[in-house]
Amino acid sequence: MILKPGERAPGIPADTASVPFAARVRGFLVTPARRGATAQVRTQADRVASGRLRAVLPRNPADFGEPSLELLVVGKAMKRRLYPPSRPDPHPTLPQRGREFGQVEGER
Amino acid sequence: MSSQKYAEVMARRGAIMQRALGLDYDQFELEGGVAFDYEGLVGSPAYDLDAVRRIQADFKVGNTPLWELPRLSQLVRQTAPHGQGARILIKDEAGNAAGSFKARRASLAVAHAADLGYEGVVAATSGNYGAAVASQAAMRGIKAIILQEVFDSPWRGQPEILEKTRVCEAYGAEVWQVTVGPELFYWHLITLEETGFFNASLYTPYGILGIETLGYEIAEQCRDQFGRDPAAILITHSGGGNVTGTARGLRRAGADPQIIGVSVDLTGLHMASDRDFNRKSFTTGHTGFGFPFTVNPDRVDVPRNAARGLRYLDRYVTITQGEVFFATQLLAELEGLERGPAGNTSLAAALSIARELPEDALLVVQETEYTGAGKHPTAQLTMARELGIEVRIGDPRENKQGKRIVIADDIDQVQAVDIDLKGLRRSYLGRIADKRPNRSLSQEETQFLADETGVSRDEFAALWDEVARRPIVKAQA
Ligand SMILES: Cc1ncc(COP(=O)(O)O)c(C=O)c1O
Repeated sequence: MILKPGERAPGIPADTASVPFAARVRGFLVTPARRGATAQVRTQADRVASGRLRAVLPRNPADFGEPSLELLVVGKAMKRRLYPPSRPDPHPTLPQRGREFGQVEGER
Repeated sequence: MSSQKYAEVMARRGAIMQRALGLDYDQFELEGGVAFDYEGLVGSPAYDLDAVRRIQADFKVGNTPLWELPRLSQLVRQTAPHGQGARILIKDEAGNAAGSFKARRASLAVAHAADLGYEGVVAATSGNYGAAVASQAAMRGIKAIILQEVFDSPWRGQPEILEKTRVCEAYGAEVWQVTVGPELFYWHLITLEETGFFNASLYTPYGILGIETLGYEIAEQCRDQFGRDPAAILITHSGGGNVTGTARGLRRAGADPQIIGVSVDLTGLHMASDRDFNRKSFTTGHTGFGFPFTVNPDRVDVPRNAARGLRYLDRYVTITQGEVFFATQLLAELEGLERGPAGNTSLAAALSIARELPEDALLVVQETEYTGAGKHPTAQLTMARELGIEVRIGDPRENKQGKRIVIADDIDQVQAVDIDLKGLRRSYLGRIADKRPNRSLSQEETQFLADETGVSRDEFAALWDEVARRPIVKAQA
């Protein structure tokens, strides 16, 4: 933790003022340590930072999330607008909401 | 070691910044505390445009392609009045090192830091700029420390900013991920004080000069590739550097298109609120920065902001989150370009504004940025759903910030909304008037404020008259 609730900047919204200001940084462990213990890391800029070791080899959390049916549907609709089908479309209606998008394992 | 108490660190801010910028801002201040020598400040870097272009070419920045988007133009024409539906062009800034136009700014800031002999640079930014600084510092062999606002108090990371952490670390930077709050600036000061590194702020003259090449290239490319000047340029607008630098570059090339700023409408969500933080599906190019920076540009980490949007904006529009996601999808599916969030803000507005212009007019979307995990609409929409925000297809007018994201269901549903620039000018001047109970301005201040608000002396006189008649409000800190 960097600043406790009472030490924070004046004039910030109440929800923010009531929680600490905290920070995380990654680096090479200066000496081996266990998760949860106090440890030091040497950062990429060759500085030493200390604090509670919260993760070892922390996984990258950002991903692409779930597919968005809404975006897939409007993409398809705009393609139909631009390239009107030359034959009657066997599936003229597209789902509008919900979870009607999936994946199957093919079989013959 | 000096005290690290919040108030005491903030009190040292002037001295810390002076050392971390290598520039004395006092030399530009004019009598009275209102006006300063803006052209003197932006003109202070000792590089002409050719020198800037050379630095950028040496460090993998600039000369990005200007593509035409004929299928999007054709789609717009299907619902536009006869003879209307401009040719939409896009400047593919994702091709810069680190994947966005921010490399233009970083290339000069880091060049300057290296020239001055700093051992490293620090930037407090959750955006593409951090990646750009890290990438430029990597090429210069100097250290980079990037400070990012990433988490709310339950440690939920904003997906796009988590990706920014990854990319900055990929370029070898030390990255501090902090929780929501303006104390990011406090941590920035401590970091500068402890390291003695250069503050690679977005808002120095270097951060602006680097963007001028972007405006200049657009003018050149429109002339070379299409034989004419652009009618209008759409610029994703947040802190104002993008508008300022691009407009200045266009002027340098002798081009005078309409300068249109575009921000995602996030009105109603508080920028410093722990709760609202992850209820925003955009981390930049939105009204949460665009409005306050336009009205009060000096609320930044340097004494005077070189980015001053109101000087250059001819028009300012907003667009909803769902309309930007719609534009992002069409750019991929119809034009074969998968690009990132902020760049597509101005693209979404283009789908609306192209309808107003004749078919042969050139409408330039001034940038793209890279996309990837966390930056992608699917990552943002997944997060939004997890927080109980409704996502559906329909009329974007039904969008409700922080509650409902509506993906446009047809091309003519995309409609940019005009912001009253006069209202923003009045707010800007209201702040000044509050500091001047007797409402008197010197000649120098009058000229400065007319330039600041982007109006003629006559228009300014009328505006000031209106503002001066308001009751006197207690001066704000
Ligand atoms: C890709 C992209 N476009 C536009 C902007 C907005 O630029 P500015 O803050 O200079 O207005 C940003 C940064 O905030 C950005 O990263």
